[in-house]
Amino acid sequence: MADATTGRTRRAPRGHPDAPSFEALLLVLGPDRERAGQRYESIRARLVRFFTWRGAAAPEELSDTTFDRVCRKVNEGFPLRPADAERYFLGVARNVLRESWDHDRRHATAELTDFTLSRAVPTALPRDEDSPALGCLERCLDALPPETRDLVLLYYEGDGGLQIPQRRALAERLGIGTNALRIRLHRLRSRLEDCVRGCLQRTGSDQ
Amino acid sequence: MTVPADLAVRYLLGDLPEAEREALEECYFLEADAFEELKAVEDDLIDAYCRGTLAAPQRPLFEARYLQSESGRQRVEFARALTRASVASRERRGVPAAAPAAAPRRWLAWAAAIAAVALGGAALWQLGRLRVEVLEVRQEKEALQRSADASAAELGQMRQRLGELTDRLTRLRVQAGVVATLVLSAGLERGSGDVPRLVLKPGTEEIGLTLRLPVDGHDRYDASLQTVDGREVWRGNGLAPVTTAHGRALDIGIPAATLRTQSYVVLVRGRDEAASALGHSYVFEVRRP
Repeated sequence: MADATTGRTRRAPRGHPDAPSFEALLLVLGPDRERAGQRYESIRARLVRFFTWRGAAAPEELSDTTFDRVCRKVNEGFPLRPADAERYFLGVARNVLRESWDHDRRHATAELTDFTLSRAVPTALPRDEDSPALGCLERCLDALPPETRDLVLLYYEGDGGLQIPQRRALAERLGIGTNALRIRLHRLRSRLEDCVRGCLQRTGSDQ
Repeated sequence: MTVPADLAVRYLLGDLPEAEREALEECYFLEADAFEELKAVEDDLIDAYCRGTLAAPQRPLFEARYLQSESGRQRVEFARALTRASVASRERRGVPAAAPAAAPRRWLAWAAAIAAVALGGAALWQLGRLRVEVLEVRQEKEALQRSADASAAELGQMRQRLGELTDRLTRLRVQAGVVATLVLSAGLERGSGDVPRLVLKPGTEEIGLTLRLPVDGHDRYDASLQTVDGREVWRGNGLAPVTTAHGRALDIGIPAATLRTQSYVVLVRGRDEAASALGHSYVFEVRRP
């Protein structure tokens, strides 16, 4: 199933052996297949962030595991009510996270000391002038409509105390509230980040 | 539903107690707006780190969360690139650059270094003068706040000046050997192993605690300093928050003679909160050599 907003193909969670289970889950998420698919994407986005924000090493994999489990439960006849789906996913995700921590602890060996020490020191970021992200960002900004590009650059250009009045003025100019502006810019920024990530991957694979 | 930014930041930094963390997770799983809001707060957090405006105690938490993974580093790199691109755009338009953000203040390092320098009378004289100056700036700030048309920029500058003066005042009090200081954030749990420690040297008369306040909208607070077994050793009622280099905070002074080598907790509650409200707690440990 193609997703209209991301262009990605919506698929059953990786490694899930039973496509009908996924179909059963979509039925729980909504009678309309397209809307159910959107709700699936929305839950998936939350799961990935949940695992990321809780410091998991492999958020995507743990999200897949969570989906696998919920699909299996639904297929086995668990009466998941549509209204409870998000809350249920969160509960399963917490269990998956705890188990991954237990697994990590069990597999800790003597080598862990060195490993932990090396992880405890933040990895240095490249200097600005060396950062390939900057070149990619310039390209991605150039691909935006001029007014959108200007909006992004204006929004992020203020510093410290000047940023607040500057953003307030920008919101007034656009006739929206500052929070609405913030959310709008967050969405634009997410698109830009995706664009830069893709550009960096292409650049990396070219080398 | 709006997620309080302070709560969101502490969640993102892994600094939220379990009950609040779980409540916030329910919130963003069930409310689309809350999820968007939290992601926007994360953008701001990453920007603050890149611009050097993230509070010093939060920087190591941020680095542990975001610089340990490839995806986190990519996000930080992206934010740096975005800041740089916006600065370049401003320069192209001929708008002068804003003053660089002040380096994060390192209170405890300062206190340790400066306490070694004996300034005696000069420090005390400056201390008196600064007290007057701080009072004047506070009055100016209050006047500004009363004025409905005071611009946000002016208020921001005034707050910054007040913060700087408060910092200088605290430094001078430390230099004069009168005060030992500690900056505390709410929510450290007892027994977590990260309890801030205050070493009281002979001659210290007072300890100055800066209690960083979460955004909760209260104008006045009651504070109670207690031993871990619940015995109250000091109380302050109707305390007004101040704006310091650490953000909105309560500055309290406690006679050093009342403190012994042990752990303490300061319980802070908004004046208008019910007596049963949990409020905020700040844990620290006192050591006498």
